[in-house]
Amino acid sequence: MAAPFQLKPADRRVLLRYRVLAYTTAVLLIILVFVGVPLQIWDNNLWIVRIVGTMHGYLYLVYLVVAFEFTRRLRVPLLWMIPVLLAGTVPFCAIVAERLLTRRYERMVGSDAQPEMAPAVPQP
Amino acid sequence: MTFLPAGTRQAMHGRGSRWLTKRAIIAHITLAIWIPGCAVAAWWQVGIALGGNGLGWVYSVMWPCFGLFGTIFWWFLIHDDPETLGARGVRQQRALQALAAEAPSRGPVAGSPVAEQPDDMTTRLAQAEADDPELAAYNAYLASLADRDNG
Repeated sequence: MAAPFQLKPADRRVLLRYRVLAYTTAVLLIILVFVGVPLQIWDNNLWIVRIVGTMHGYLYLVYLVVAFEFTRRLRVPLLWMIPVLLAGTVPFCAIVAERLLTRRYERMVGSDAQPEMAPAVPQP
Repeated sequence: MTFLPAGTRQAMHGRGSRWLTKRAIIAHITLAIWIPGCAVAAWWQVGIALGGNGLGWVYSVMWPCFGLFGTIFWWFLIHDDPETLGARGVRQQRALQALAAEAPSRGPVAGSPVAEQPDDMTTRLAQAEADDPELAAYNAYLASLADRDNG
């Protein structure tokens, strides 16, 4: 039987990685849906849909990995983790998810204003 | 409720139990919807690509990737140590952080009242553990975690 995966607490690196990816995919999706799609429909102009659509698609794969790691480390229940992962495909939802998760992180780990954390495990 | 070393719960309940927790079952159901969904979407995009829209090829590679990622995530969700999940996990994490935050102040500072603090803390902890076997078990578990990480 494989050893169970030990989840480490979330730290600032994971938080930052998640926030960067959340904002990037959110902005690309907003451009895609509110600029690219209207141009495609009314102007038959495809270049934004081609470039931004492809970028959003593959960045969303990275977002999935980063958000999965972050939500697991934050001990987000599975039924909330699924909407957070899917939020990257609905305009504006990734930004809402980012706000909620950052608040949860601050509740659990403390805000950035706090001093640098001591080593995770104290010496005996 | 007792705190057991990582993996004990499964060892007690037999090999199959990790596949039947509430979390595992939610993961199974999600995967059972996700994989066919990705397959249908990939097939649809292959149709679009063959119809002459080159963008379809991009997405017909991407959808199988989504399916693969879903499977990997599912595997992780099943194999996460239950002792680190949910309310138990949050408690464990808080306790570890509290210990970590305390650690720097443990060094004795000569002639300062801070030097008195560790002894006082130790006495109070011993007292609390004597009153509450559950707390004692939990602290023993935390100590074993710390030992494993240091060793």
